[in-house]
Amino acid sequence: MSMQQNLLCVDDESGILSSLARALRNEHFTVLTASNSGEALQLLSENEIQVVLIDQHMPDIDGLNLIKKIKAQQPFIVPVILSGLVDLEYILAAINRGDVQRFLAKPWNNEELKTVLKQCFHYFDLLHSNRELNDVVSQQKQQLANLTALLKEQG
Amino acid sequence: MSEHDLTAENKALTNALMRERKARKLAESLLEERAVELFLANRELQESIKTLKTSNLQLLQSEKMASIGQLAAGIAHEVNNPVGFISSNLDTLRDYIEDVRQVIDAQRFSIKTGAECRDVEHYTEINTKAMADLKALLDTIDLDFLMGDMNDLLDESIDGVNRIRKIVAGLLDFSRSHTSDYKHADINVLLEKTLSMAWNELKYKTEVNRDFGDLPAVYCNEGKIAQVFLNLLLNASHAIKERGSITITTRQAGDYVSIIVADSGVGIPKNIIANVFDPFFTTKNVSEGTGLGLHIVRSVIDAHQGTISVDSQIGEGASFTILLPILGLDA
Repeated sequence: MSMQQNLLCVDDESGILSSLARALRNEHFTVLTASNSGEALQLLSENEIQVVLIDQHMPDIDGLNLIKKIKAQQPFIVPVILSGLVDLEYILAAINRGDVQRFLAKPWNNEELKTVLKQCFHYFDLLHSNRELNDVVSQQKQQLANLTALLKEQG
Repeated sequence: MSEHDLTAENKALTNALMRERKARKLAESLLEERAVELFLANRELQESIKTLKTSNLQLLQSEKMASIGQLAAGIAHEVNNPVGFISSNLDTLRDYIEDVRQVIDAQRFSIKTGAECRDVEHYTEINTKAMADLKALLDTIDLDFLMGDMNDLLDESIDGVNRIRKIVAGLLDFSRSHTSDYKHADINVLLEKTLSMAWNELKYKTEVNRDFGDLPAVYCNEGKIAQVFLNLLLNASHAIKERGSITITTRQAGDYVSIIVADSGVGIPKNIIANVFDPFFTTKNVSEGTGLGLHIVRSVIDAHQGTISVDSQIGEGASFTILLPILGLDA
């Protein structure tokens, strides 16, 4: 796909953001960072973003609630939660509800992080092309119906 | 007096003496028995006082541990953050060093082949190729970026390590029981220390306002007073459901120092405000509180010959006022 691939990382901790940007500097996507929900929503409105990596614990909003807000704006975005193992039950429930695509525990492993994000971009692409294919199928269905109707008329 | 009379009197006196001796012996043995009883009772009392003292200390210590337990999740999170970026940074640093090593190897190779070459024409050819290889490598590796970012990476990681060190030191400082350690303490500094301990619990929902006055040193048991502050701060945080503020005011008031911890939380109902300092009185769930917090707070303040009082209106928060004598006495 030719679309620019962007990852948005949201964490109130600047050390986490810069270590993520460092670890992901050679990946196929660009890394954008935000340290609060306002910055995150701003970046989302200005850029095509496919995957968001979000800290669960933030002073202004918790990660899962931020994901809800983001999904209201961009329903197809793929959300990943990055968190300590503190609120595990809460996050597990969110994963099982389908609100969150993947969960990464702090401290994370860079290789695992890259693999997970790669899979998330791939997942986004798959969903995207699925939607496109669906559109094509329904268009063709419509055309076929039109043609059938035409044939019947001439029948 | 006849001899007979004398003998009779002598006999009577001897009998009386014997009786008296017997009575005294009885009295003495009764007295001794009583003394032994008293001695035993006294020993028993001393034992129970000792037991009471130890259990009081244990109570104090376990309440302290319970409040640390409440902080544990926040502390784990606070430690996890720097550990997260430090370990990621170290992984990245390994990649950086690998890149730098490649550049150094290429340079070494170019120097070595140049030095070993005797033939001028051949040298130019080899050198040109080595230079081209090096340049190609430098096109893929942004050496300037790596060298610059390496410094940032190390600075940030060292900051992270220092943060962890501070958290651990604060925790140790707090959990150690300095049971009889009275010294001249700066109450404002002690409040800061306690705030940083409780910060993870507070920062997500409270804004902390500090209105610290100039205070003289207060002669007190720092560890216990810090426990009092922690308890009041945690209570204040628990009283705030969504978001709110905690205001800490310190002032000198004559021979006393006043410390006021006020929150904007739910407040304490009128019918229970008189009970909040009672042992085992709690409105919290079993997992959230022991019901001993404020009781211990008051016993610590009592031991310092200070006072603590509470003022609250439902819906308008609660405020706890402590008065501590500046020239406290060893308890």
